Amino acid sequence: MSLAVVTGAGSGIGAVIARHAAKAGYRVALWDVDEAAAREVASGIGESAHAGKVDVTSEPSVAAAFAALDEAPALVVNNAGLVRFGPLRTLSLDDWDAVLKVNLTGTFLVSRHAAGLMEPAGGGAIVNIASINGIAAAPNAGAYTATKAAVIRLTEQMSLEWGPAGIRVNTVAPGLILAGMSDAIYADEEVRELRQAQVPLGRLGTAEQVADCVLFLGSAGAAYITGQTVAVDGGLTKAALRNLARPKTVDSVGA
Amino acid sequence: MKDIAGTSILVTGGGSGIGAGVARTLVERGARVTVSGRREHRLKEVAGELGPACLAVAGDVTVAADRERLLAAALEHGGGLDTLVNAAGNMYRGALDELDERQMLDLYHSNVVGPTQLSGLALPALRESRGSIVFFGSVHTQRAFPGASPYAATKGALETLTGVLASELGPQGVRVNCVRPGAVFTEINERAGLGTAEEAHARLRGLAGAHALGRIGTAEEVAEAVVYLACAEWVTGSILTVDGGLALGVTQA
Repeated sequence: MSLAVVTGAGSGIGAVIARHAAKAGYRVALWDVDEAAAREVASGIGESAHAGKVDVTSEPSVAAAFAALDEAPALVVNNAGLVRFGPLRTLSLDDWDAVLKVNLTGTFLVSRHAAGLMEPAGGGAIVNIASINGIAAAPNAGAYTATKAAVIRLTEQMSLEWGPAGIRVNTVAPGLILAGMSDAIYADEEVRELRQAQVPLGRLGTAEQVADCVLFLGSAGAAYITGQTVAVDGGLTKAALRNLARPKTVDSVGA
Repeated sequence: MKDIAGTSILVTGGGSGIGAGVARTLVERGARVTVSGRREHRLKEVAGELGPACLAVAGDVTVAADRERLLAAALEHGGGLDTLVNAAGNMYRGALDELDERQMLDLYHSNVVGPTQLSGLALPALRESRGSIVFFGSVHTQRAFPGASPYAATKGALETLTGVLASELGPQGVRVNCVRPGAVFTEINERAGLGTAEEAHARLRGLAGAHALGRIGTAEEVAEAVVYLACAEWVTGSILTVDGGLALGVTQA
């Protein structure tokens, strides 16, 4: 059985990705700063899962976690993420820095240590979790949008640098997902209605649908896919002009 | 994720190249596949190889009566339609001041108008199955290959259509996605004037170093992306690039 590492696996989308990976036949290392949460998810999966306390913003913590693995991982999922909402004018520098450290620096540190193990093993797959906010901006998202856009470009850089070593690097950009960090947002019925009305498929997505894409990108079926970002968003990022009003009688304009 | 097994899929351009690779992979996964194309003998070869799960119907997506026949055959063979894979496509290239108007219009007809019309025709069946449409884009929309302007423009049109139709058809429960292949050896490269199969192979192998993964791709690798998009029930409007990293970066030193 090959090994998958999932960061931020103690809750939300990360926990679902870890469970899906186990179902797909991986042994899973569940990493989280909240070790108790990761343990609980791991115990629900069974003997093929192991929890570890890992702080992705600390290089010694990341290096020690990889050193403790008994083999090179075939799949590493950079799922750990953080959002601190607030207008840019008044956002505290601490909040800005915290989001950068987890979302961007964390992805970088975990990926380069993963690549260090994958290269001598002949290759592997890294999948980063970004967001549709990496594709389109949203007000009051603080540093989140900038970090997710950076992860998309970092994905391309890593795929170019490590492609010759057989390491594929791709990103999943989830849209409006009813799970994890967004639970608090969708607890508000009215907000939920307003949000899902913007999605062409008319509903919120699930963590399982994100996990399906992660596992596809990690699988042999995606052997020729690298450097890409796949939006799992029900069409939302293509829908900006969907709701513009136009009289039914106007079918063409201009000459 | 939807299970691909048992679903009904129409693959245009299924007699050769990427379309044939897609048909092969889909049949291996248990789908009921109808392949169409203009050259009957090529279709018969593919269908003969793939067995009773694969039905061959000769037809041209630029001809309205043919489109109706293809769709009817797929509905009958598969018991409905879950996915339409618009793999049929042609290549025309040339220097700007030598482009022939008729040939440009023919290319737009076969690469853009035909697939769009067929998609519209299939819409009632796709609404019924909550199914999806897959178009094929190209690395030509991401990197400029001088002399390939007519082809690149048609592929740009298909990639744009993907977003518009995803947004338009989402509320009807129909998804629309696009696969964007890079350098895959198929006979379309021969038709593009890249020489005989051997010469074209050698030329494509020479491109290997331009890929992050160091090699050109196979039709089967592109087919895997089609399978994923056919099954991923919350993915619509996506363009999935399957190119070994060909279109990444501006320098690779």
